[in-house]
Amino acid sequence: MTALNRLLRSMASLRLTLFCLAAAFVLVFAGTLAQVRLGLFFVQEQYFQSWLIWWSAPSGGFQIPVFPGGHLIGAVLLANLFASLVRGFSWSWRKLGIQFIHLGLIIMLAGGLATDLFSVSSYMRLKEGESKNFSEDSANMELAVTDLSDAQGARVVAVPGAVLGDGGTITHESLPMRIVVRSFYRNSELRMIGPDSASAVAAASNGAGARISITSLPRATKMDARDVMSAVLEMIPVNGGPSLGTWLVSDAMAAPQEFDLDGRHWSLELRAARYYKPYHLKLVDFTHETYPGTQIPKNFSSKVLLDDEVKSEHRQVVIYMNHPLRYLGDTYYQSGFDPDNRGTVLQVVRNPSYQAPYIACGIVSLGLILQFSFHLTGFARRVKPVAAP
Amino acid sequence: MKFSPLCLGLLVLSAVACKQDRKIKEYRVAKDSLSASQPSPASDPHAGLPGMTPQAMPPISPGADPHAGLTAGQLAVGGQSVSPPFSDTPPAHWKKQALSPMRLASYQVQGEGDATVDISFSILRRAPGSTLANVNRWRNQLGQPPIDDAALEQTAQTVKTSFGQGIAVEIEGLAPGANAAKDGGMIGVIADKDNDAWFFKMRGNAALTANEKEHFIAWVQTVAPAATPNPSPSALTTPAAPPEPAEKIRLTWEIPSGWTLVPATSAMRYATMSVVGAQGVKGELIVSHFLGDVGGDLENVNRWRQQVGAAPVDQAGLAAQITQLTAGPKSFSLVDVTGPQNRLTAGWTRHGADSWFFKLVGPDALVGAEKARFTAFLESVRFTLPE
Repeated sequence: MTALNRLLRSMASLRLTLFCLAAAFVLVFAGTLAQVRLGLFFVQEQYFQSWLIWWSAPSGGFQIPVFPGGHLIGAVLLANLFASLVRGFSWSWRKLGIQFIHLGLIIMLAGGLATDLFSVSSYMRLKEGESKNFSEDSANMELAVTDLSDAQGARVVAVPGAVLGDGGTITHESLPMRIVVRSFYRNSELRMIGPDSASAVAAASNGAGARISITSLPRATKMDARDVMSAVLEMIPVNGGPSLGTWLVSDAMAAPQEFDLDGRHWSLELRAARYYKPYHLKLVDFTHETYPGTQIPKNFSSKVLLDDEVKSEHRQVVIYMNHPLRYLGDTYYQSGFDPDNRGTVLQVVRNPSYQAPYIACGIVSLGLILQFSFHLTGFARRVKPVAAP
Repeated sequence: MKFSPLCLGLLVLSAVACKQDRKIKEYRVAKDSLSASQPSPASDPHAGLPGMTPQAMPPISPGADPHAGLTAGQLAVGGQSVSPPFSDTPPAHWKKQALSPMRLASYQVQGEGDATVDISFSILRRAPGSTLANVNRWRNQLGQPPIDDAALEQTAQTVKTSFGQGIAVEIEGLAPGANAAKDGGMIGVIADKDNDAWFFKMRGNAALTANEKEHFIAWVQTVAPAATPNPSPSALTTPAAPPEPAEKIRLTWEIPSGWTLVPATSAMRYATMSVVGAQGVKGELIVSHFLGDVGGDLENVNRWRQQVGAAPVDQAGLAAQITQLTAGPKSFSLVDVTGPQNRLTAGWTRHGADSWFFKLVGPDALVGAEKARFTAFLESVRFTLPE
């Protein structure tokens, strides 16, 4: 037996399938319980979107893996199915149904993994009459350093929040300064320094931070709360010269701070990550219908104007429940609305493998039909006709 | 467990995917694409989602902090000095609240039932055009459409502060789903000081907000940077109730029989008198004064009408409501409003830059019985200081 065959046999093992399924059950059960303590988003990240689940020592000194994460279980199950398909493959009509079912499941699992790894979900909030060409993802922050000097447009250097979390020094060829992360807060609370907080220390030497104290908080775990990321940054000109001092940036500040360097005007802001589009969406009208005489929602819909100069696409689209707008790889779902019913919140999903479930379901269905048909025809042949009395 | 090439490939794929999250991006955008979609966390997609109210999203919620989600430049205080301490004199009945982020002062007033108003003070960096942006942000919080500069100029009132003049705006409205006991009215004052903007905001139950307006304006006028000398009483235009030292007395009057001067319960009031009628029915006479016309006659009269539960009148109907009374060198405007519960008769006049208000409030029978004395009281009023 060759090494490849031995590998295929072990990977195609039914025991491995059962182990993966059992591990998945345990993972889902444990993850569901952990949501009570850690919250949905944290559990998703730590349990289901990870290769291994790590246990941290109470002292915080070290971590050890204690259980396979969702990615690892899914990947092994995928490999198991793939190996099973390869190993059991033969050009036989009788096995065609089983092979289709395996192939469909493989596509389903691979599509799920690809969605987890590559899909991007963000939101676009529009007021009636407002037009926008970007969506935002408040689950992922970015430090936007923007050169505002040109009248024609602004040049943005966007540093992911994860890079800030790494600490150290951030450089970029388009930035005339080095950005040194002096402190980073995954979740924090800002407070204006007032007479009741005489002992409070200003978070930074310049900008808004000169009047704000900052406190580190544990990660937000409630469904209706989220982390407020903050960082204290020192900006040092790359061409020499004195430091620009330390600046506080925070998700809670919601406003860029501006400064001048090398004769150019810059702004600095920690904001929800943005995804710019080559087209604009304008909210023409938002409709929130309720059942007569009640406040029970009946329907939400957003009439938007799609305006793509490049493709000369100008059309109105109504987005409502189960009727998203798909355009250039983005799918816009009706997700929420403003309390005054004059604004809408659209979930924007870019998922390169969004068709995988449909294809997988089709193939599995075909496989099941084939398999059932073969069994049915075989059964029909075996059954002898009963003679009429 | 052995890794298949497929597993290895998936690991690499995952690593690549993770790596992409850490890539620094550079791009050019039109300047009109830079503005935040909504006040920050307002840009939070969860706002408005069923079961995920913005109020639960610290610290961005309007409920948690009135200045959360400020428009561009608001929080970028450019000053180098840390925390300019300030002093203020809140009315006695205002309850101090724990400071939430960004607030330098925070108070609450409890009205009847569940009615409350929330009062806050913050200092933020001034930004060009930010006044209109903030007023519109406040209007949005009460479900009101935005206004333009011209409309702001027409509706805003001028308020004197300890360090200069600010503007005050009054907004009424109830956003869908809002609790009328705790929302529906707002008075905001924005005053520029050096490079900063000082924000004073009162938001809450509409009727209670209207009732607290005088207290609020008076409190705004008491807020002063501690580093600078407190403004003189004359600058504050919020004198304590008489009796005062002789040099501070601004009015003289003849108190009608049965009326009793009582200690002021609010720094806002110049004087308060207790009026007791037959069978012990009680009413109150309130004397107060403010810089400017405090919104104009229509606004004042409708606020008083609201206080007694009467329907508002329009400009055309206002003339029929007002009568004139000449008292010595002064001419008073008078109005008499009867509501379901109480009756209010008020007289007001201008002296210099200030408007002086005299209000008699109480049960209908009491005010009716005391109206002649009220008129006599107004006729006796004399201003001791020149205009």
